[in-house]
Order: sequence, then structure tokens, then C-alpha cells
Amino acid sequence: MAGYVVRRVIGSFVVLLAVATLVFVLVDFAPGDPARIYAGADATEEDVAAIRTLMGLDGSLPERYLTYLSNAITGDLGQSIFTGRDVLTEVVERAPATLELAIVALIVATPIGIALGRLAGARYGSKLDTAVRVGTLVSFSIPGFWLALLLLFLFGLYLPGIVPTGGWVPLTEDPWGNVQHMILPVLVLALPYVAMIARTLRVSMLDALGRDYVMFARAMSLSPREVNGQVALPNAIIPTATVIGLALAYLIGGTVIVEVVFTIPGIGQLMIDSFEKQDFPLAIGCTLFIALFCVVLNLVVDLLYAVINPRVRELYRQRVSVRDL
Amino acid sequence: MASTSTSPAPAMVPPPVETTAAVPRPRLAGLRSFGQAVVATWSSRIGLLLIVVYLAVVVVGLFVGGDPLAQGDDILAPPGAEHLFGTDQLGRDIFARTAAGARLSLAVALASVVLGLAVAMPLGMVAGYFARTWIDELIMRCLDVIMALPLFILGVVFLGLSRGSGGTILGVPTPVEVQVVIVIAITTLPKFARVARAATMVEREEDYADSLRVIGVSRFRIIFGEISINVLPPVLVQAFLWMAVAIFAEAALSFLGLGVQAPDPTLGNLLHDARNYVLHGAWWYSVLPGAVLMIVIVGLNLVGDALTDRLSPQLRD
Repeated sequence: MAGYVVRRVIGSFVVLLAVATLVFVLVDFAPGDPARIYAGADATEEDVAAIRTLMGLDGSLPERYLTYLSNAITGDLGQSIFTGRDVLTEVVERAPATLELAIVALIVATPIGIALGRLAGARYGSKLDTAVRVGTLVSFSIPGFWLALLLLFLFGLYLPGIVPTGGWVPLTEDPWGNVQHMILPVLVLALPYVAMIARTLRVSMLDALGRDYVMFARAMSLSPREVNGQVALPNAIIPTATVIGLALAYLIGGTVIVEVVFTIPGIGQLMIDSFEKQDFPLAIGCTLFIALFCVVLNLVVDLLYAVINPRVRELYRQRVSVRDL
Repeated sequence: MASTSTSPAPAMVPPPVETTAAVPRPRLAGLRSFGQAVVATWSSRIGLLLIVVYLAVVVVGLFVGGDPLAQGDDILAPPGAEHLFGTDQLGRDIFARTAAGARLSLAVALASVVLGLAVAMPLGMVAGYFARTWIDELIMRCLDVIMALPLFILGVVFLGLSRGSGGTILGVPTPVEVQVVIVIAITTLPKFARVARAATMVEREEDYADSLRVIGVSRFRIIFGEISINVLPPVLVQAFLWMAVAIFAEAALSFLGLGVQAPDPTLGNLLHDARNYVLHGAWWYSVLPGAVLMIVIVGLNLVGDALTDRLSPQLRD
């Protein structure tokens, strides 16, 4: 287990490094001189040169890369071009809303998705199964930003005053207001997630229920509830856990959209805004933070399911990737 | 996927009818049975119908939709006889814009899936043919990194940066449509390569592959000449499934203002514009183009469902 944890943690670092490198390459090869943008249109050549030195842009490529990396590691992401404040401060200010949205959506969606998938898989071919199958397919197919717009119509225009349709109240200031402001964004975020989890689990439940060990459990006269819940489900959950991990990318992408539509002051909105204004230090800071969040969440999910399912650890020992299953 | 890599234990006396070695499979036979799977169930027929509706919007818009950029005096008019889907803030006909947007969205999605296939299939087949060697490791680990990244975020970075730099990639001027295609194509790579790899690992154990090796055919020709044809069906099914993802991704990026830029419409940037008129009560502006977007995604997913079922036959019982 310790070996597994170490390997996964190292793997996460590699991914983070890859993201950081990719962002560096994209920024470095982008034409245009960040120092000149930063200095403004009427700056003198000396000003631009001074800023270039200040931003660490006058070294050779490896030098610049190392400066960038070491600065990023120590949390020095530069200053926003427009507000002049530290990027890290700005990002940390915006982080709670995004983190809360993503984590609450994950916590809401996972049990519902697992319950639906388990029910549908156990009653394959029934009306309930069909309903889950069609319902999840449709909710998976609704573009989140469109659903968000529809909800804006419904609760902003036709049924005003029931739930807030925009803005944000920090949890620490007003917990009840915070919950109210989360209802619509979390609904939009969680819906496709529930569907993805339910659909994956349904298929693997179906697969597990056809296995010999389930037949054996039935022969041992375990009740259907015990067979489904205690024998089939733990075996069927692995692909679902993988999907939960992989779908985090969707969730993060979703928070960007949800923040924009519901005007929530999160990192996603900040990132889109700063790209629009070409405030690159801020935009890059947002990107790195989101990547960090994503990788950490992925790591947690991976480690959690190594805990729930010993087969993952066994597979790891045999050097089989879970994703090949 | 693990089950496909293990071949069944050979029977002592193989039943003559089932031997595949003597009678070569007809080329692309798999695709025909996928076609049958699509018309077999009600849900996939409905899916097919929805796709046809979408294509109809595209085609009808091409002939009678009118100019999607032509501005009129009727500003934010609700749907009526004159304007089927109403008009927008500049008096442009939303049906014409939806149809043109649907066309451009479809083109971008199709191009990105084709580009993804063109890159991922050779990679996946080489990895599969040399499975469990360093070549395989190298290719698959690189793709793992892509898969682990939140690609939507990378898309935002990529498009955001290149827009800031006047629309160039590595100094080469690139239209934003092409940039979107590249971003979406990258997202398809890991899945396509994985499917191609798994199928190749099965095919390389087949007798025909052995025979080709024995008579000294080069590995290049075995992989890209013979195996590729049998790897195609599952990969094409996967490509079909990803059309829905690609259409959605294009719309999402455009919705954020990072994709195709105004005044050219796509389904995504129509909704981007519509966002400002929600509270003016212009429901048709966002509801109708969004509905067209949803119709095609539901349709593709319904048909894709039938195709996936066909891919895993054990679930049909």
C-alpha cells in the first residue's frame, strides 16, 4: 500500500510538472512580449528592458524555465497586470467558491449516481432500468451552459425570488445564504456527473451479476439485497471509481461555465476574464491552480479506491493499469 | 478490455464451421453489423431521427435560411411567420444563424474527430503491435499525461493565449476554427489510441498476421496494410461516440468566447450572445439554438449507445 501511495504521489507530481511545462511552452512561444504588454504602450525601451529583467525574461530558455518553475514552487506567480496585486493572493481569494462548488457537486452526485446505477444494473431490462438509462442519457447530453440559461429563465424571470440565480455569499459569512446560492450551480454541475456514474456502474453491475461468484453467493442463499450490495457492488465499483476520477476534468470545466453563467466569483471566471484582458500572469496562475486542484482530487480518488478495493492494490502489484480494465 | 486480450483455449477438435483461419473474414464485415445494430432498437432509431433533424436544419438553412449576418429592423422579435426562431439584438434571423452555426459546429467536430483519428490510430496500432515493449510504454504514458490533464482547461489556455497573440500557433497564423479543431482533436487522442491498441493486440495474434510474418511481409505493411482494416470498426464506433463530445466541446469553448468569433455563428457563441438577453425575456434566443444543440447530442448518444452494446456482446443477453 505504501508503495502504491508513493507511486501515485510521484505520478501526480509528474503530471503537474507536465502541465507547468506545457503552459510555459505555450506562453514562451506565443508571439508578443509580455514585458511590453506589462509596461504599457508609452513605455520607453529602458522601462521595457528593466521590466524584462524584473520578470526574469532576459535569460536563456533553460534559465527562464528554471526561474519560472522555482518561482511557481515558492508560490511567486508574479503580479496581475491590471490590479498589480500578487497573482497568488488573487487566486487564493477566488479559490473557496470554486473548490466548494466542485467538491459539493462531487459529494452530491456520487451517492445518487451509485444508487441509480446499482438499481438499474440489478434490474436489467425492467422499466426502472429503461427509465434510468434514458434519463441519464438525456441529462448527460444536456449542455450544462444551456441548462444554466434555462434555469436563469425559470428562476430569474418567471419564478423570481425562490432561489438566487447569481452571485455568491461566502460560507463563513452566511452559511444559509451560501447554500441557497449553491443550489442551481450544483444542480447544473452534478447532473451529468450523476449520469456518468450511474451509466458506468449499471454496465459493470450487469457484468458482475453474471459472474460465478455471484451465482455462488445466490447458491449460499444470500438475499438479493446482500448479493447486489455486498457481492456484486464492490466488484463492480472499480470502473466507476475510474470514471469518478476521470470525470473530474469535466467537473472542473463545468465550474468554469457555471461560474460564468451564474456570475460566481470563482477561479474559472477569473481565468476567462484575465484571458480576455490578456492579463497573462493572472491567467497562468489560475491555470496552474486549477491543474493542482485537479491532480490532487484525482490522487485522493485513486487512493480512496485503493482503500475500498483490495483488487486495485493487487493489480498495482502485478503492474496492470486500472485503466486497462 | 482485459477479456479481449486473452484468446479462448483451443478446443481439441475445432468445429469446422467456426474456424476463421480457412475462411478469411470479409473486409470491414464489422461495420455492417454495426449498421444493423443502429436500426435494431427503438432508442437508436429515435437517435437516428434526431441526427436527421439536425442535418435537416443544416441543409434547410443552407437553401432557405437566408443570410445569417444580414441585419434587420426587427430587433429581438419573437418567433413568428417571418422569423421562424425570432431575431437577435441586431435584427438578424436566429434560424439562419442557428442553421449556419449548426453547420460550422458540425464541420469543426467532424474535422477534429478525423484529425484525432489520423494521429491516434497509427499511435495506438504501433503500441498494440509492440504491446508491453518500451515503444508501447512510451506512447501510452504520453497519452496518460494527456488524459490526466483537465483538457478543457488546456483548451482555454491554448485558445486564450493564441487569441492574445493575434491568432498564431508557434508563429504560424492559424484561423481560430483550426485552433479549436486542434484542441478538440488532442482530447480525443487517448481514447482513440487505447481502442486501436486493444484491437491491434487481438489482431496480431490472428493466424493471418502470423502467416504474413512467416512469408516475410514487413511489419509496416502488416500493421498499416492488413491489421488496420480490422481495427477500423471499433475505432470508428469510438469516433462516432466522440462526435457528441466534440460538438459539445466546440459549443462550450465558443460559449466562453474562446472559439469561433463573432459575427460568424456557431451554436456555442449564439448562446454566448443570448446570455445577455435572458432577463429581457428573449427566451427564443437561447432556448431554440440550445435545443438544436441538445437534439444532436442526444441523437448521437442514443445511436452511440446501440453501437457500444454491439461492441460488448455479452451485455445483449
